[in-house]
Amino acid sequence: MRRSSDATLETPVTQMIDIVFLLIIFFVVTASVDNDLVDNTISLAQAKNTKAESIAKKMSVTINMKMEKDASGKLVVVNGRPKISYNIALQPKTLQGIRQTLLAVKEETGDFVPVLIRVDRNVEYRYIDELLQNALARIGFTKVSIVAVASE
Amino acid sequence: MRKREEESLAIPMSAMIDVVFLLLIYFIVTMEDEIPEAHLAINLPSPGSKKQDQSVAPRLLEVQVYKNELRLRGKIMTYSEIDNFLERFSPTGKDSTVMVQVSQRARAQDLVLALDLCRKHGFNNLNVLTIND
Repeated sequence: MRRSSDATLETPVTQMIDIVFLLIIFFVVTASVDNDLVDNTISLAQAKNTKAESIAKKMSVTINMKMEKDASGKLVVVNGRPKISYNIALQPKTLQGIRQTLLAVKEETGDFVPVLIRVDRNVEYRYIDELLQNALARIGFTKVSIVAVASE
Repeated sequence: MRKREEESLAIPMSAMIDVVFLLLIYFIVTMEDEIPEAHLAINLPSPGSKKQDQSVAPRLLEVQVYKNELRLRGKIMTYSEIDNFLERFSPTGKDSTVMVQVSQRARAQDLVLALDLCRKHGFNNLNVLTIND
């Protein structure tokens, strides 16, 4: 009688462990290590007719560009214009710093690498133009891509 | 003797299950949705070039981008009107160069809208210039 009562108290764990291991493997496979280097604070513009790029990418330099906000979420304005911040792989850069980085990459690879610009959707074009002309076109980087949220 | 042999063969699982659950919770908490990104390629004018090289592309299409407004060859048009025009134009003009002239007050979203529309109809040679307004 005791054996049968002991048996009913046991819970079948083996199947649950199988499921748990499967879940672990799923999350390990889908987890991405370099997610920390993506600036997720930028609200990209929407491109509803363009598909997402394939995963295999050539070497490229991604420049993130956004308007700075203070702790309360308001735009930081300096001399009547919003303060624009740039970063490459979350490293803050000035326009000159971006030029130096691109020239260093060009020297290392021997070619003009593709430049991707992730810019907040509300940034006025005049500030994007500053980046395009002063940091990119001036040193010969004329093939540039604007990054947008793709259609599904 | 048999009972001792059976006991020594048993693997202690409870601690391993605890670790497995901790790992599972960690990965669930740190998992982030990946946003699909599209790359809209544009060509910038080379430094020092002042005039467009008309000999490169005999057919030219001009799109002007203003804040919340799009124009085609100077004429204000809605998104769907430009979409329909490009659909009719594209079968014969896919080798056209599209000059995207952007106002300084236009936002990135307005520019992306125009580029996306051109890409939709197969226009991949997109040159971007600034309108000094």
